[in-house]
Amino acid sequence: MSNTRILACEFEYFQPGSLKEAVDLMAEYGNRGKVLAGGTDILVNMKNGRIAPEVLVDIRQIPELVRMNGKDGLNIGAAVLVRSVERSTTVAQKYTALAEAAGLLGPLQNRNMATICGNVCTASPSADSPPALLVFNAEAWIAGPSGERVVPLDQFFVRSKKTILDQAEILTRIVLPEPAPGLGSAFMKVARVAADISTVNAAVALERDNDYFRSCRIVLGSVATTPIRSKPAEESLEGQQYSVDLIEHASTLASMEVQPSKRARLGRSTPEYRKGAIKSLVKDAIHKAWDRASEKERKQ
Amino acid sequence: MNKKNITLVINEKKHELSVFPNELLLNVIREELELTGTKYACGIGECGACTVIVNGAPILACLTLAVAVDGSEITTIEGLTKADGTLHPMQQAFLDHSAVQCGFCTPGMILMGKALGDENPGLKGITEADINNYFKGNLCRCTGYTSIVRAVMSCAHEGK
Repeated sequence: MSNTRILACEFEYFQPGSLKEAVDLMAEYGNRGKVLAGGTDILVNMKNGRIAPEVLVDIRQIPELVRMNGKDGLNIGAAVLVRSVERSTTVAQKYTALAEAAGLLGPLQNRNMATICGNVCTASPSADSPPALLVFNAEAWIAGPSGERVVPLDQFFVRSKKTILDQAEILTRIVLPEPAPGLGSAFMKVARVAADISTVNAAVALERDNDYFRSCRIVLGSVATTPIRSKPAEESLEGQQYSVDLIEHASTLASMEVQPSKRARLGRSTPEYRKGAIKSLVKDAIHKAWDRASEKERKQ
Repeated sequence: MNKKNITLVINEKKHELSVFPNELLLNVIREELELTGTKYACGIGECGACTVIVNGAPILACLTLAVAVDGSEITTIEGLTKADGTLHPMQQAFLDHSAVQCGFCTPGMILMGKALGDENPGLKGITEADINNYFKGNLCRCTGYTSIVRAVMSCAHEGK
């Protein structure tokens, strides 16, 4: 066991005031450097000896990265705190599932430190924010030595703890397009205790035509090495008339996405349990999103 | 590694310090400033014993680099009691409701109570469910939480 009272490894600390400086620093240090935002993952990994960066580039003083903008879509800068997203009225109204995921992401103190983009970059299969971002067709904006590139977030995750980010690249923001009017969404998770990481989680966003599903997106977390969309479940709903049986069937299809894990990890659940949990979770999330979509319809 | 000069305003008192990049806020507070009310327990952000309030927001001092909070205003448990010794209402409530056993989690718990009150003046409309949710990152191995929730609720009832 390592001593978690101190941070034993030595590193140089930079606090650039502009994105250009940060990009230049990461280009200079490459794999010896790490971007620091909230630190709730990186510092734990450094204490446990899993990583030992020689340079930390703290991006929290870069003005454009601490901003969140809710006009014409949602723009979440890399240093925007989980708690800011959770408390934003724009997010709660337009991107309800994201507000819920942010609120359930962990203890309050961690949410006051951690960032949504950091949660995405850590790329834990059980992370709470990715499914909630993916149901809104999120894009990842990435800055690197050769310029900026924009990638759909569903192409961002490679496998557990691995993203498409190059060693010198920085995720600068996540952008969500303006949601369709009347869209309803929900995020739910199952965990051992409230503060724990998800055993499984699910996000749903859907549009209604009176009693019919016009479109639906369902994304599951902690069922495979990356968050995944359940297209069979989505397609089973689209164009169909609302019924309890229909939703039951869709949630069964979603539960089939659960992949057997090669390493049964101590303290985590079995694939069989996850299947059952996903089924109930997706069912509840569809009903919730459906009710919310209808609430919006009534308001118009 | 080079030392960096930082300024921390802790409990309304300004401190000029020289720290290494890998020094944690928790250890600067406990060892350099000798404010040992803030506790080290898990060290990995799971227990809440090291909670301090930085610029109005409760955070974990065990996962915060001291260099990263240069210029910040910080409140530790020592900053809650007035100069004349009067306890903060939340501290008094914890005493009145015996919400303390071994006491190791208490500074973090009380600071969370203060932060909850700062966010919701007079703790207006706060329910037990709100408290459970707000305090979910603070572990207590003695009390079973009942007395802690009762103490915070009593402040809510009295509008403190």
